[in-house]
Amino acid sequence: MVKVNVKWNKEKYEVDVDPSEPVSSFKGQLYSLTMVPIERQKIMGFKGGILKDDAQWKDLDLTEGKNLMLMGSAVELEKPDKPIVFLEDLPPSKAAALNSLLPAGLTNLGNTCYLNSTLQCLKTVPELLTIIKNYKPKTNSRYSNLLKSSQGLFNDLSRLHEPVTPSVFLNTFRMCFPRFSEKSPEGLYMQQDAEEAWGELLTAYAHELPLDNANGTDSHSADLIKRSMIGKLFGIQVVEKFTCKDNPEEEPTTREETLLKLACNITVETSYLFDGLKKGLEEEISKASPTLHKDAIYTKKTLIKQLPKYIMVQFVRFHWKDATKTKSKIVRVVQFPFTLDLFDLCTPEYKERLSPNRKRVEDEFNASLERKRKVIGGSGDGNDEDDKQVEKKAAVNNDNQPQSSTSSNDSVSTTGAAVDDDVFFKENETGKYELCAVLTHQGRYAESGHYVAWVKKSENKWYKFDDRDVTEHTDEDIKKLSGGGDFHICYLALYRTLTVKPKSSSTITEQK
Amino acid sequence: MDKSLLTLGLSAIYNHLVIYESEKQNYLGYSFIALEVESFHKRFLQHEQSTNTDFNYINQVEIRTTNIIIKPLNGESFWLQVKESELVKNIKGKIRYKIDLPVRFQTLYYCGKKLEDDHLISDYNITYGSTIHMEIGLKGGGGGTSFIYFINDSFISPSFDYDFTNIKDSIVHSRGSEVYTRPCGWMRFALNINKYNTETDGKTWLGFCNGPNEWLVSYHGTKEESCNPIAMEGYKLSSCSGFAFGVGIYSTPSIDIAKTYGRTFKKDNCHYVIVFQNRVNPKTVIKIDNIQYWISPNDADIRPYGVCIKKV
Repeated sequence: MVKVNVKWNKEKYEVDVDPSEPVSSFKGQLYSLTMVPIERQKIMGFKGGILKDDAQWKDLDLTEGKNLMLMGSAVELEKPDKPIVFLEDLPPSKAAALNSLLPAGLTNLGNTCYLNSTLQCLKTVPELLTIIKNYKPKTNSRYSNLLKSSQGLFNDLSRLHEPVTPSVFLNTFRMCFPRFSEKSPEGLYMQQDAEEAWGELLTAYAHELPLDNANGTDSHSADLIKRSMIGKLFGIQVVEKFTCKDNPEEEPTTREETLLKLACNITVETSYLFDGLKKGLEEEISKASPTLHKDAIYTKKTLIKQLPKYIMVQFVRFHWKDATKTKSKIVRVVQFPFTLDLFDLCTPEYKERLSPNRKRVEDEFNASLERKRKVIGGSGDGNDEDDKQVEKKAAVNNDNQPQSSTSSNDSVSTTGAAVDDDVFFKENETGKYELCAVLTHQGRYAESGHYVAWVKKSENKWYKFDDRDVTEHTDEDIKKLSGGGDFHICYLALYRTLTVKPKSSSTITEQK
Repeated sequence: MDKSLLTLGLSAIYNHLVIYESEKQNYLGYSFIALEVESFHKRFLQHEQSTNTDFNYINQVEIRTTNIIIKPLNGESFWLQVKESELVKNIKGKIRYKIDLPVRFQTLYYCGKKLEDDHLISDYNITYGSTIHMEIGLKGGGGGTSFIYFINDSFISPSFDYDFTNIKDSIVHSRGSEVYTRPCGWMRFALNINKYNTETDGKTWLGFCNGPNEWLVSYHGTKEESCNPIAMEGYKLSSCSGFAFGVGIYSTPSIDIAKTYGRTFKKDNCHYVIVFQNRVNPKTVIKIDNIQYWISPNDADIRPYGVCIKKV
């Protein structure tokens, strides 16, 4: 490499010249330094006048430190047609337009993520939103203010795309349920249990939303949930049967109850949601026997007598260690399915009611497969690849059923009568449910942590509501919420019923 | 002295991470809350609130009783005998007595509805054989970042720390003309108590020469709501003396009694127990003569003084 000094106008450059490269390469170096196009460059300082492109370095007197002069004008850079605009500089309305694809988050007002995530999960129930929207306040009612602030809040969540600050709702919520106003000795609002917030909200809604045909409801009636619209949406009617193990001849006794959720008990052997649910519904208990006149062991078995439209499942992830007087969190991995079948947990009578619909689902599935095969057969192709494609399409069709169910729910009418008819429609239930929301707890202690809501938007598309931040995720991300470590762990799961098409449609199909 | 022993002990009793202020740089992305002596002490001073419930449970003659089923969500159901018109908070007291779960962790539900403490169970139509579901909850609320407690020189007074580990007392010590059992075998960390020095009393409550305003020395445990078990134990011991247990804050002049209610924790494969050392107002304290329990009427009559830690 030979160093030469190039002077151009008032600038001086020190350039390394490679004698093994052609002269045009040297001119390219000057172009990158000065922006003078190669065809405009006139380089003087060598014997023989201006440096020519076809010259050879060996014919020139190239020496270290030689002074050269460059003549020529630089190219003016083209200015952009319009100035660059940054996202942060946009006015808020335009910035919101870019984010309009994402729904609104909720601002954390001081340890309130338990409430924010609960509300985002409740928002996935369009029937509930419709009922709350049509609510007419009663005078001097205990929770009417809560219903009114719920109307405002859910309206904002549906309409806006910027984070919503739920301060009005939070104040009303804390007035109705003083426990959530609890403060630590340091003066901060304490963290709370999201499942407790969920239960309190549903109980308050049940109090304000009785069925139209119900008479005056006692505020503390045991049937409050059962005889309300909330009971139709979330109430699970169960039958408890007590059988004496010590005296098989004793007549079993039964009791009926309404639950707002199913509990998944987690032990060292629990790995799947269904196992945990089953364990919570069967157990042994010691109680006084009327025939033996002493304490006896009873088997208590709980069966589902009536299923609602939505099922809330709670993964019981807290534990009280009696030995050390410590409250701890269970982080064990418990797999939960995207489709939950509760048929085996029902009473025999209820199973008989569900069986025809379940058979129809199977028939439709088989008919769909058969039709696909006929089409393939008609086209003359019978190879394995086509068969696999048929199966794949059939699976896709099966997955489309939730879509039709979801769309039918979204088209709920705004009139009260239509709402009642649609909400309470029961003839096509199957006992199967699809996952539509997950509420997770992050942190390794039972007394503190962070709650996040994950809501299903469409096929393989989920929204993560981390207080005010909303992001998109896929089914694979939801599977990671099963538990283990410090990641988000599923605490509550909301399932929506899967239904079969009404009989009339089936009849029309048969006629065709 | 080794501060990590103290911070680990505090982490155990708070069930949350507690660090010393200089360690903040090791925890990026967290928010920090400073512990204060007064609120710290209050957290573990539990007033006796359900005395009547607990004691009457032992002695009461059952009238018009019924039986209900308590179903802990993550435990075995059990049968509980209750009155037909009993307060919900009394039910919680009985549950605590049966499975030793603090009342403040209990949330009871019947038919999906939460039971309020100040209502009767008959208000909810709870009858023979009804199943009441109980939960203890999973707390959350952090704004996306976890928080960590820390202590600094506003919390402790290292110059007054004292190592009693290898000391055995051969003479009797006293404070406020009362026998002072020094914490021999324990490591004592002093708390910063300057805010308790008032205009009138100054530091006389801290004296050690039996002056007129000198306060007594006592201890109490650090387990959750450990005062209630002290009260229960005290009741059993005092039943033959006819003493009526009152409402107040319980502590003991014997550090060995307090030790049984102290939280244990682990450090370097060794187990330790942690208890509090207090100064008690002699003008208001009630002493039960035949047993070593003291009762102070309210928070202002018992002041934090030190934290004692011992290897077990």
